[in-house]
Amino acid sequence: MAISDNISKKALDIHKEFLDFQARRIADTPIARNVRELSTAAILQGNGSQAWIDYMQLFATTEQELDHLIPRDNTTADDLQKVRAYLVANGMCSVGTTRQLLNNVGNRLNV
Amino acid sequence: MRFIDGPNIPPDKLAEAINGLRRGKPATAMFPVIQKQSRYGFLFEDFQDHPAMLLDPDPQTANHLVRLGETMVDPDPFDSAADSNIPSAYTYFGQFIDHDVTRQSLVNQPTFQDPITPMSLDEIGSASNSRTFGLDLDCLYGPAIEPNAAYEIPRNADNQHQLLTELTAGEPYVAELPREADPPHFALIGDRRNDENLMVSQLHLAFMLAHNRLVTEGANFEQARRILRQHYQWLVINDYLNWVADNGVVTAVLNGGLNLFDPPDDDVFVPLEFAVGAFRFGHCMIRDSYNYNSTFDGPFLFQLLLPGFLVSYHHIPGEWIIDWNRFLDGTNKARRIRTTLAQGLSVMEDGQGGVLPFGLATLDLLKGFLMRLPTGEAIANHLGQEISSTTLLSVMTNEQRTILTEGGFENRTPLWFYTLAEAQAVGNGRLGPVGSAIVASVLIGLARKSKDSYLRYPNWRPTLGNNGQFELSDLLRFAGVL
Repeated sequence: MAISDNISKKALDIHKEFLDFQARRIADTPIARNVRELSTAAILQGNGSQAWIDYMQLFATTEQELDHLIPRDNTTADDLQKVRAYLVANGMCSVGTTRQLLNNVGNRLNV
Repeated sequence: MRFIDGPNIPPDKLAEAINGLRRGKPATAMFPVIQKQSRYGFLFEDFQDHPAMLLDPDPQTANHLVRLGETMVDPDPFDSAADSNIPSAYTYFGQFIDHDVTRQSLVNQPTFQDPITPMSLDEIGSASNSRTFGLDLDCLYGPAIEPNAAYEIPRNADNQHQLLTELTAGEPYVAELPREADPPHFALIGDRRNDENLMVSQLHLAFMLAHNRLVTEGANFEQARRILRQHYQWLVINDYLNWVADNGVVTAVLNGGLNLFDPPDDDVFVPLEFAVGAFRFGHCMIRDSYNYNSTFDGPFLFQLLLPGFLVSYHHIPGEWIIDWNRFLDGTNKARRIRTTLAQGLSVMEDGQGGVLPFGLATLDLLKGFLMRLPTGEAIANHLGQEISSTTLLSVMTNEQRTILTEGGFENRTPLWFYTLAEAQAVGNGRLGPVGSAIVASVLIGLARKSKDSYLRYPNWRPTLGNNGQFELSDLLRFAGVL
């Protein structure tokens, strides 16, 4: 799986949870809330913080992917940093809009 | 691989939910005004006098249909063996055609009914179609369904012969649909259903851009409209049907060898066997994920839906502009016409903060039951195109076979389900004989009755393609989006 697939998978989890919530099968949306809380902490504590790493782990299935997302693989060009910032910011929204985790990110972070 | 589960309707909610279907689509925030433009009728009206040609009206039938619908889920969306050879652009061209000819609502609200049985012929007769019957691009040119009776589809302020387009949000700044200033930024077009997902939205845009190019090249509004309508009708008959229907049947309908639908000019209607039955085959062509463009090469279906997408944006972001090449060159192939639908269609949002109690398959089956559609076998017998039940059953899952038997649907198969099974059994990747006959007869019949019909001019040939040929790719190229 590529990082974009991991992001879509997380978006799908949020989407399924959202549908269950709308159908009144569940009373809460813990997956979306977790993404939002981790994203908020990552923004407040900044790039390189443990909170940033915790958030990026949501979208990594391998060490190489995590290294690229944080980043600690020396891929710090401005355009990639901007995409990483979008990935963090996209997690801030409420349950209905968190489904757009891919916006401004797409497959640009794939390794 | 199952990644989305259906809604599992509690039994006590079933009757209430089905009665919601009986009402048709009421006016909502998205569609505040519903005006009747044409009516519905039956292709095979005589069948209504023969109960054996319809589904059993017993209330248990609805329960069996709900069970059947819940089995109609693609078991593995990533199994390429279930792909057809039809490029996915035609999935959404089919949706565009559907929106051009049919949107059902009821004039008289039927009374709540429990147990559930089919609607009366009077109730069905009160159903209004808020689309004109013709292949006339009313989604582009009006009358618009929304947002109010005086609504006029916006024109370019600098050239009143052109339709207004706006720009994407963010780079690349390219044409996008005009939208309301306030969230959720409904598109200012003749039919907001054409803004339901990114694919059909941008297909609608392509038609607008084609119109505007015709004006740029010297046509006035009326001339551009006529030229585009005729090319659209050509596409439906010579391109779309060529992909989805039996070509022999299409030829027979065109040359008069098969004539199922020829209403008088002053009473043209849209047949329910088409609108609520056979033409819904397109639902099973939808994929669960698309290789959408160079940036988004695998988003799920739900990530491509509008207008929820636009909560944060006034317009579609530039990076979400479709790469039509990927929808025409075989990168994205429509799923085969068969008895399962994409998993993402097993739960449907209602657009008002909730979810529908049914997945799309169940909704289609129940609609057919409520609207008294004849069975597939009744039409097949009438056409002399019977297929043995053994052949039909052979393409279904064990679960589907069981429900067909227990539900009394063997030899009385719901028309829509029959159309799909027939295609799977004998269609070679297209619709089978019954599906082809209904779809080709109605689309060609409606084209003949349309405003500006090119079929009234025997020597008419398309001028916007090459050498008198014209395909969907030519339209997209002419519009500047391919």
